[in-house]
Amino acid sequence: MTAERPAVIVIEDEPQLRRVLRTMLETNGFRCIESESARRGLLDAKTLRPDLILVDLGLPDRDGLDVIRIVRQWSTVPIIVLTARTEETTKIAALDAGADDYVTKPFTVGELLARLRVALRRASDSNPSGVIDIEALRVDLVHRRVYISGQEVHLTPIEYRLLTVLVKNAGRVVTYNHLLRHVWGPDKIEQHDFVRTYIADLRRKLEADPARPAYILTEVGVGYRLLAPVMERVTN
Amino acid sequence: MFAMDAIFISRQLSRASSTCGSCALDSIPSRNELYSRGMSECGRNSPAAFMPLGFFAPSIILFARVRSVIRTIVGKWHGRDLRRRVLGSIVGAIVRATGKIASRVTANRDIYCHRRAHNNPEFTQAVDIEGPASSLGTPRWRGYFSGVLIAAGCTALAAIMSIWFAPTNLAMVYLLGVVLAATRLGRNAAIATSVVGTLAFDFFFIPPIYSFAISDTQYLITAIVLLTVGLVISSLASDLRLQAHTATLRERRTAVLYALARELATASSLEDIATSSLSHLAKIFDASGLILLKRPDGAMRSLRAAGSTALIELTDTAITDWVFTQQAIAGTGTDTLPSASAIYLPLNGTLGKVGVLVVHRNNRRPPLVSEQQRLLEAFANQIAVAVERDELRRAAHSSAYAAQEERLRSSLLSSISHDLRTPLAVIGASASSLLQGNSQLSEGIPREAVQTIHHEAQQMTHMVNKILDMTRLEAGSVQLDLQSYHLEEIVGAVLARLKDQFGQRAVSIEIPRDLPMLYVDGALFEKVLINLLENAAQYTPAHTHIEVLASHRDRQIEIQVLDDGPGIPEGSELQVFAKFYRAHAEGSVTGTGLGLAICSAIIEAHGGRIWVENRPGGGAIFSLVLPLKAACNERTQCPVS
Repeated sequence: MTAERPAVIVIEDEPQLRRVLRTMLETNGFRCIESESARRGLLDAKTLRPDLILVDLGLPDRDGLDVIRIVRQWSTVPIIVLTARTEETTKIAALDAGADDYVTKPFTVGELLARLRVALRRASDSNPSGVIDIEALRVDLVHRRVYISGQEVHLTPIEYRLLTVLVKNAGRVVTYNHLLRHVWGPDKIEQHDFVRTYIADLRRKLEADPARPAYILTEVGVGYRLLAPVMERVTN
Repeated sequence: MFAMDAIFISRQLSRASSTCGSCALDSIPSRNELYSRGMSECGRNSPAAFMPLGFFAPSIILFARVRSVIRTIVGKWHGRDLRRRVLGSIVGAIVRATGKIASRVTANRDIYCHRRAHNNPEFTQAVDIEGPASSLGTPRWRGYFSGVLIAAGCTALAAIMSIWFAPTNLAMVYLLGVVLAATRLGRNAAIATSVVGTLAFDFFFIPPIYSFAISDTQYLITAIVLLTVGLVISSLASDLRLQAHTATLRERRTAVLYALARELATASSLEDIATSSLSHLAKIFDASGLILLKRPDGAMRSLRAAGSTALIELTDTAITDWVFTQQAIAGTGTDTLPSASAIYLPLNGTLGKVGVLVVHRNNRRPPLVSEQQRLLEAFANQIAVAVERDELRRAAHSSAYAAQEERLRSSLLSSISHDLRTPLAVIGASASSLLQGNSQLSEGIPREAVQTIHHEAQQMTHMVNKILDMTRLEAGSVQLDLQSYHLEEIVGAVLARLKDQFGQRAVSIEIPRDLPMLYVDGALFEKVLINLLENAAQYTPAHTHIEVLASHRDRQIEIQVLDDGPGIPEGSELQVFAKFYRAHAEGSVTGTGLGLAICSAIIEAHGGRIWVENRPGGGAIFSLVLPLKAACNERTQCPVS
């Protein structure tokens, strides 16, 4: 059994937090490898071939953003950022550098595990196809159809493209720039108003109460997160 | 008031060299050299004063007493001096009178220089610069010539009077002439009048007439007395003139300094100080100046940027540095680097070195004489004191500001320390109880203790985040990342985030479909709504209703958060937005007292306004208005008018 447990490298300089993370991970079916510095973490990532990397942005020897960039040069291993900073720009920078998701300290076990599982699932199946069910929302990627509680919803081509990008990253935060790049192409970068306006339209079609969205959740200043499909979610 | 260690008494106005000296000088020292020697003898901080010996002994002694002089150095003239013979030695008088003050009499080595005192070219220049040249400076031959003319006039008058008066009485006419010449024309004219007058008196009126021979001894005495009295009068009267002139000079100097001091006193900034002092400098010395101040980083900076670039280029930084460190004057007409193109004066305030004053005299101006240099030094002192005062004023201002900051910080500290210590104590207690009951853990974790820890930790996080928010906003380090957002979206995110706190609470949201997009920093504006809704949830009973309304008009968006709780105390509508203010000081509600202060800071940063009022039916209405983005593109749903 031990061999099958996914290995997670924790690059974190504070021993207390490392200890807590180890307990959290070990009791939830992960194997934990502790690295106390960026240098050590990069070495472990190269030699131990982990299934996931959990990296703190505030490391003493090197910026966590650098770690993400360096790992991304040779690996697509899921990276989740641990950040004490609440600034949205830091989160966006980490995501744009190649991180899969972020968890803001202090976090709960549920939050952390949900992010880990979503990231691991995406790593094993990066291009979902077929039919995806998220509560009452059903997206049929084969026939390009969208249903809410069995009722078909008519979307414009852009709204549909927007939804598919979100569905393919379900459970994960998708930045405005990512959405712009994948829906409109690279020349519309930085026009975040575009995304917000189309998301508002999409919500009016999908959500029962657009002011209390159940599917497309907002991470203000960062982007959007589509609710993860049922099997991915952790009830806590 | 400073105590003076020595007076150097000079017979001359301009140079202290000839009659005044310090001890055992081999050559004639310049005034500055003398001054600095005197200074080094007496110690740097005890200035010496130079006084012309034209003053009488009593005034010198008075001066010495008033200024608590420790040592007097007086130059003693060894030449023949009729006045000294007649009136007694001034030096002797000083030595006798000063008593406790140590006097030192030094021999004069340059009688010629002393004799030339009144015609000294330097002296004339000093007069020239400070006022119209007086007859003091007239050439010697003209003095003698006018003396002869007056004597001739007296002779003519005496000739007419001789019809009625005895010859002895006619001598009085000549004495009148001597007084006239001495007071009006100076010593030379007076001496000429006495000598020529005596001779003429002898020649024309003493029998035998038309001969210099004197037959009657009675007339011999008359002639000798006439000559002696004439010479004494000429000496005294010319000294009086000298004193009057000195007084005038001093008065002018004082007036100039007073004018400068008055302007500097009203100067409110360093620029003002520079402008007024440099304009005075230009007016009085026909020179352009440059004030260089030492900055904390060690560099010298010019006080006046405009128009002074040429001057800065002309200024030698090496001399500037030397003058600053040595605190000594240098440049044109001084003993240090006299070939330099400008005069460099140290600006020395009461608390220490301030900077350097550089004076560039305009072309073809002769170098400054000592009297002017002294005035210039006085100028420099005034400027230094003004600059120092400005610095002190600023320091006082910033320390007042720092004190205010300090008060705020301490109130923050006391507030935070209480609010943070409570959850910490709870966490600590719960955790220790878990540790104690370690053996029972297998029977089931005391869930309550863990829940308490979790809850208190959340509380603390919450509080720390708020404090950090406030600190960041206050530090001014927040750069607004303004973008267009749908209010609906932000409200949705806020409600999702507050899900745990709101629970089953009814929150109704009314946002018109056509509401324009907000132009805000999303993350900060989210904080505003979080704080407002949290506030409403915290201070109202759980069953009450919260509403969020939005509307727009006049290029403004108004957002309201309404509750039907107890409302806010009457009269505290403004206070609730102050830091650490809590409407209900004691009670079950925990909070930092920062939430609304954060809201207010964020909204103000956006150019908006936030206020609170009580609802007529009970409860509070928090309202905020935000300006719309100046221009909106076609996809951001501009209001349809």
